Amino acid sequence: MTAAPLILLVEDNPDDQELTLLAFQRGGFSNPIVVAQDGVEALDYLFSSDAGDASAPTETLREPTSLAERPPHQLPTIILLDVQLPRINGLEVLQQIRSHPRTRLIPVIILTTSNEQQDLLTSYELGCNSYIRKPVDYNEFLNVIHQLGLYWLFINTSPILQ
Amino acid sequence: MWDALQHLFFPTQYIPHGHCYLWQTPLVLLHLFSDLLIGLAYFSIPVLLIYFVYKRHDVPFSNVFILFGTFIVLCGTGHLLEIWTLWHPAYWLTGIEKAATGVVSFYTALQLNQLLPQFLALRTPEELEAINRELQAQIAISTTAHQKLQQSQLALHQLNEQLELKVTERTAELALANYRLQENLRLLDSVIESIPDPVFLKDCEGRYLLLNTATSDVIGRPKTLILGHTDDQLFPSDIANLLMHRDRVVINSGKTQIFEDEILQHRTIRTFLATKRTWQDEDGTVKGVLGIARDITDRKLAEQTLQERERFLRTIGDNIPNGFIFQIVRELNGSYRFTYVSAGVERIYGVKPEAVLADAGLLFNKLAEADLAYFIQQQEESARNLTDFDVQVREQLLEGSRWIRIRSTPHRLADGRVAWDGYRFDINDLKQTEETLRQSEARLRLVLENMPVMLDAFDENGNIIVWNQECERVTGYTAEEVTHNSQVLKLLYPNLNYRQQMIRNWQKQGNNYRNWEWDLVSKSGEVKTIAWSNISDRFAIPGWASWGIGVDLTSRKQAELEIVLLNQTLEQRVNQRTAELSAANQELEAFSYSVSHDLRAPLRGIDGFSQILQDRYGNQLDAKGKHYLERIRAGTQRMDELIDDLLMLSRVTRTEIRRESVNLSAIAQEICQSLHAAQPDRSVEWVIESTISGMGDARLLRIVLENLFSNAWKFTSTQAQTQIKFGTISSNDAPLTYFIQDNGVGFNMAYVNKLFKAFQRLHSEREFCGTGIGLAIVQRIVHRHGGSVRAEGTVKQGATFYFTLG
Repeated sequence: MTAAPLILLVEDNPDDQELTLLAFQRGGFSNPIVVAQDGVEALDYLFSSDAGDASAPTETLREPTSLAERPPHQLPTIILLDVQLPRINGLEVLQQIRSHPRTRLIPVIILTTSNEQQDLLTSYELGCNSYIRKPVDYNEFLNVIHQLGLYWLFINTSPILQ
Repeated sequence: MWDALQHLFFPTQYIPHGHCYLWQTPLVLLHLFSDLLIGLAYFSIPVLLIYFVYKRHDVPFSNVFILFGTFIVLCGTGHLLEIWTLWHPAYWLTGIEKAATGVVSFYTALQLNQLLPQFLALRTPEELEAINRELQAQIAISTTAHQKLQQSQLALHQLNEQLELKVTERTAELALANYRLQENLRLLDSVIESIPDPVFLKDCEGRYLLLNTATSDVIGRPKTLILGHTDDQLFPSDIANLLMHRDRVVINSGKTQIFEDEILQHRTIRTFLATKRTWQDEDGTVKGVLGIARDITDRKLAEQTLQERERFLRTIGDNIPNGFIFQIVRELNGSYRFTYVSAGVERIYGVKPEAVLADAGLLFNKLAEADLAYFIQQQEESARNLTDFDVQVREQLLEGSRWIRIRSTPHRLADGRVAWDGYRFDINDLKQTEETLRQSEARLRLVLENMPVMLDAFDENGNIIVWNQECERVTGYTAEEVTHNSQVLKLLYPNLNYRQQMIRNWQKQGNNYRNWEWDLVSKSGEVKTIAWSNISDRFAIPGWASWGIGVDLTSRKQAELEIVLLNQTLEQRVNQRTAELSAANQELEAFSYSVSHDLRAPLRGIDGFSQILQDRYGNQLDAKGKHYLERIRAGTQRMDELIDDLLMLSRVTRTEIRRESVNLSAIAQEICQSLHAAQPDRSVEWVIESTISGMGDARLLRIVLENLFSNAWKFTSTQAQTQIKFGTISSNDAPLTYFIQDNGVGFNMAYVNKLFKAFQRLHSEREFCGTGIGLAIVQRIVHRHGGSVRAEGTVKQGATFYFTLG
């Protein structure tokens, strides 16, 4: 079977994790979502982590196993990446994604609270595909997630083979 | 040659004459014999002619005979050649011979033509015989006359001998008389030669008869060339005419006359005084003019020079302004008498010089009473010692007292009296100037003495001679202690090395120094730094060999030292502060960054979960519960706005400004459109100048305009008709001012100072929403551009915001 397009959400704030997952749910998207708590987890997942049962929606990857033991797992169709992350921050994660042949074509959508000009410019320089500022108003946020999902998961054609 | 002759005598191309006669023998013979006969006859005639001429030598015209002979021989030759041509056609030869005959015969005819009159004049023998008879008669008469002549000659000879005898006797008498005359002449000559003046004697026709060497010197010729000549031969015509005229005057009047004549001698004009009288013989008949002349040129010149000298002296004397020259004599009895005063005396006193000469008292009376005794004492002393008399005294005139100076030099006359030659002139102005100068000098002295600048002056020997009050105040040494004190430098500069160094530099520098700083030690032991400037060269003061001014820099120096120290610490403090600021800035940046994330993230949580709560559990809440949830959400959204504005304020502070020319009109138009688009129902009149531009950061200026326009938009929302203006005010001495004016609610000017402070609001949130940060952002951006911003407003009558961009 062809696996449903996978979403990798890199977000350290549990509130935002929950609100984002809720928003996807409210938007009617049933795609599996892998959540990485920080940059290290995100990179682990992409390059060496065990994705487990990729078909099952996963809220967290709490206990990553060692790189060698993990079977190859499904690559995400899109990555929703926060900028401000513990350990390795989002911009660094983006840089590594873009520098690795396996991951460099994956669409990366920066989803952040920051409206610092510097963050925006650096993100684009490093090759993000979209930069979205999270609105505080939840209704607006729902709208943003809905449109984002619609576009990237259905309208847009991803270079990642499903 | 031979060929030519052959050709001439034996030609072949022509036909011989005989051929013309058809060779008929009788005809040929007729011609032959006729020609032969003519030829013989013609040849014989010349022979007869030659014989005739030979026999008769007296026959004239032998040439004609020769011509005839030649011409006949040629004719004869022609006939003989006729015979030759009978057989030989030598026609060229006969032609030439005929030509020769023609020439000679023609010439002969010409000769005959000329000689014809002579032929006609030839006397006949009868005439000659008559002439001969007449001649015989005349010879007879002549012989008689010759005999008579011989008798007369004898008588004449006898008479001659008698005459000769008489002449010899008379000659002896004349020789004696001549000898005596010569003696007299020599005597006369030596007499007149001994006279140094020119002496001369002329006859009535003006011829020089006698003259001495002096005369010949004047005339410029040797005597021999003068004697017998007249003046018009010796002098230029004008002089000669004059001299001869004078001679005639003497002759006509018969009296002795004296004349002054100018005569050119050796190219210079010399004046002679000539005395002329008539020269008469024993009968009283005037025979001529006797004259003696004297050269008076030098005497005249001397007289003239003397006159010139006197006139010169008189002119000078008479032209002395406010003065006169004089000669005064002290008589043996002690009284004074003027012997000369120049004309100035009349101009000054209105008294004639003659009156003064008559009465010296006229002048002595003018002297001021107070000076009279002094004057006389000086005069007497000068008379006694023959020393120059020189006094300055006052005169009491009607218009007041005036200073005069009298100066004269005495000399003793042969009779013991004393005479002074001198002059008197007015020195009142001089005296007044002197007085003014003295006063001005005193004032200057007072100023110098009291000015708050040190002033010292040195004499030629290097001693201080002036030490003003400021010097005394600064150094503590009084003028008495310092002036004329050769040890003064030791007092002021007690350190030996320092003093010697100063003196050395001073000697090297001379008077050429300005603001030259040296430390002196005051009487109380304080070190004072003085900046000395020498101004002797610019303001030379007589008697002050070198002088200068000094300024006490001690307190200024200390202040400078403090400033230097302060500057050093200041720099340190600035560095420290900069480092602190830089650190603070970094902190602020980190703070802002975290605010934008960390402060906002929980907000989204609150809002999000409130929304979810409302959505999912709204039906379990009563109206009050729902209201609270609403309030929670409103609070979070306001908080979000505040965070946004704060971040904006922080960002405009930190952002680097990139200046460029910005089209503010275009930006304003865009802002207006977007504002209007948000509330399309509002009735609004935008008045935006079309060409407003400014130098600045385009992004930041857009923020300024956005804030000001949205303020205007916001605070006019209650107006039925909104009016918003954007324009500029330019003036010469101020930078371009931009303004945005609205007709909104305005504000009370009492609160104008609060407007631009962050979070300061003049209206309640209920009236007009807002964070109170917008104008703070505007002010910060404008300040960062080096400009200023201010507001004017009246409650309910709108507000105007002005800003400049530096």
